Amino acid sequence: MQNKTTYSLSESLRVTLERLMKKDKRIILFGEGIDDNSAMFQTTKGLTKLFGKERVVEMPLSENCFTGAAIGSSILGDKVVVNLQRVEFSLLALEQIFNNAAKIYYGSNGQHMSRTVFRMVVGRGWGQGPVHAQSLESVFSSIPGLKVFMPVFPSEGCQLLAEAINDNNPVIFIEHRWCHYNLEKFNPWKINLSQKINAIKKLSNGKDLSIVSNGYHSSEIFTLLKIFKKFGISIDHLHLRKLNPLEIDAVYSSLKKTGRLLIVDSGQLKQGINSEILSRVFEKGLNLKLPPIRMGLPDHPVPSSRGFIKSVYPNYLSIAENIFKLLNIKKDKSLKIFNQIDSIIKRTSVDVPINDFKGPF
Amino acid sequence: MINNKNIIKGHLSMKMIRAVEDEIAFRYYKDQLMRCPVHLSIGQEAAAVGVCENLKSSDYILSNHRCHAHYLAKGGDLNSMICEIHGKANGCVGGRGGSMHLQDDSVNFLGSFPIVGSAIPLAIGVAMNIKRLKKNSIVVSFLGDGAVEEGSFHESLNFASVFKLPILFVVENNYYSIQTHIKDRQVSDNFTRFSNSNLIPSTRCDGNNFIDTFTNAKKIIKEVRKSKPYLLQLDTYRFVEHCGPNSDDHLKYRDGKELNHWLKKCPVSHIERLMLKNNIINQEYLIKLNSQIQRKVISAFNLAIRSPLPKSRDASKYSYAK
Ligand SMILES: Cc1ncc(C[n+]2csc(CCOP(=O)(O)OP(=O)(O)O)c2C)c(N)n1
Ligand SMILES: [Mg+2]
Repeated sequence: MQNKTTYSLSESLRVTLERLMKKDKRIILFGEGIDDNSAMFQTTKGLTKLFGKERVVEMPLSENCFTGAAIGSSILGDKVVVNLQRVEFSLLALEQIFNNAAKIYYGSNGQHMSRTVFRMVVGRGWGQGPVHAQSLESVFSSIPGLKVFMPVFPSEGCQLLAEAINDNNPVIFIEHRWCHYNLEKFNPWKINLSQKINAIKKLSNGKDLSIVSNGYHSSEIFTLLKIFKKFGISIDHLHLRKLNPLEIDAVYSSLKKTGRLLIVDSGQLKQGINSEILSRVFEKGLNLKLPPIRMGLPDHPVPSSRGFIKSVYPNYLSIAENIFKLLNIKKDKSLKIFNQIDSIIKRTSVDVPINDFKGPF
Repeated sequence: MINNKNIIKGHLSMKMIRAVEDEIAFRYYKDQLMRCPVHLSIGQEAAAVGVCENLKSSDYILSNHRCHAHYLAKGGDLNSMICEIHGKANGCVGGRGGSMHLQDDSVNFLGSFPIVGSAIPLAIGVAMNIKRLKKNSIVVSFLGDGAVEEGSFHESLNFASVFKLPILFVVENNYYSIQTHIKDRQVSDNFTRFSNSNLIPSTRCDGNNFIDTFTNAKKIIKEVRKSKPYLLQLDTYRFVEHCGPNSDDHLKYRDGKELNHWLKKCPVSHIERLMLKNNIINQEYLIKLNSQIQRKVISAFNLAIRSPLPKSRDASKYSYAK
């Protein structure tokens, strides 16, 4: 296993949990389906064998209770990772998360801490439908006291998870289901887990346009920009992986250079992280050459049928169109770029991340 | 308590449900046209049918993720269901929901709600409306043994009891929540302990035995019609994986002996053997019935395959009521 060279995000999270749990006995896992064959999308596979049922606790279907229990046991010094296969299952426990996890440090005058990580998976594709595919990261980000991390690439997944577990605050750790399949050449057994990473990572350097993205869209744009690069289009791509606290100085300095802004947000467009970023850019009084463009989820639930899906998520084509708009790229050139994009799109259908993905979740 | 007509009708309904779900299972990965998670009720048909055969069309039901059998047993339209599972515009919720979001208001199937425990309080609200407006109906809330662990279940029991609501809680105990056995989640598999503590009468019976289920449900529903809440626990077993069309016996989370025990208790073949033995039906009847059912099922699938997907520009329709 150790001589593997490429790891997926889910494999990387699995390795990181093992490494951290080996070193720190205070770390325990709560959840449903963490000790079965599905093992939280393979991210907790084998951990019971290594650490026992007292540290990997398979829970009854009582999200509200075990979320509260996580906070309670962390008051006494445990570091609890709560594993939820969908963001929606946390909705049964929001009382605990918002009223207790987010406020216990403040309300106890700094005497109690909620050292908790709430892993939540955002579903997409294979007909998930309205209550298995919600992106609620801006909801969590709006609550004072909650940190919100969202890994996309495998190595940052390791670092963010380690940082979340060692943070003295509750951290909402949102994993887009499709990001679990993202691959990277690196060694998760060796990567430094004690180094904090920046909220924003620059994935490509350019001078014509700034793109700020988060979630699965960051990996899509990463692929997309390889095509744009071939056509000599130079784009600053800033990938946001910590949504709260929101530290976006890198966006300001990028905009000073480019003067053009596209934000592609994996959450709701309305009152989303994108809205917050744009407000701050406006407050800074930065001069933009063109009105900025925001992309995100539309103001309706995510439907099940693949027939609807084309107009729901920002995608390669809609993102590319907005890049053309912001850069005034002429028809003949944009057509050539579209043709190349077409060849990536044809590889998979709209409702799966990779060809052999057959859901069900 | 049960006559031959009841048995013949119940058998037909169970056969239909089994045939539909066998067809879903057969085509699911082969054709890959049903692109949504499906939770099949294969093996659990008697529970849905035994209860629903005692309901009037004016009675309401609410269901969970494992809803195909509830929907069909209540008389939900087969074509609309198969179209919905195929994500088609003419599905019962226009392709917006998929397999876990079925609904057919024409038979008072108010919907299936896939977040565990989510539908139970909704059923309480339906019962309150029935009672206040003195409607001639009751409501049935179908839930699994896993849902019993959610707070919403316990809050709802108290509610039903204190307001004396015309609600029947049907707990389908298939002993598992996904791959976790009930003994790892609760101290007992007898859920009447919760109804008892809320002073709600209850019955536990073999949910794979159609006649037992039917006769118990019949007795109970008579009481519920007098605006008394009731809990019916039906012990049963699913024959395939939690979600999806295949067997998952190779994963070994279920004891092979256990599965065999329940396979022998298949609710459909159980009632069929009994009917043949007692000359309620004969082989000729069965052959004819099978081909009638098969025709209906195939025609539903053909319709679904032929039907258009919804238009992406309609995705925002129904986000706010006019
Ligand atoms: C609140 C919530 N937690 C977890 C899930 C994931 N989930 C879907 S079905 C299921 C098992 C439910 O078990 P049970 O109620 O016994 O129904 P069964 O599947 O056995 O019919 C789980 C855990 C969910 N949908 N909702
Ligand atoms: Mg169950």
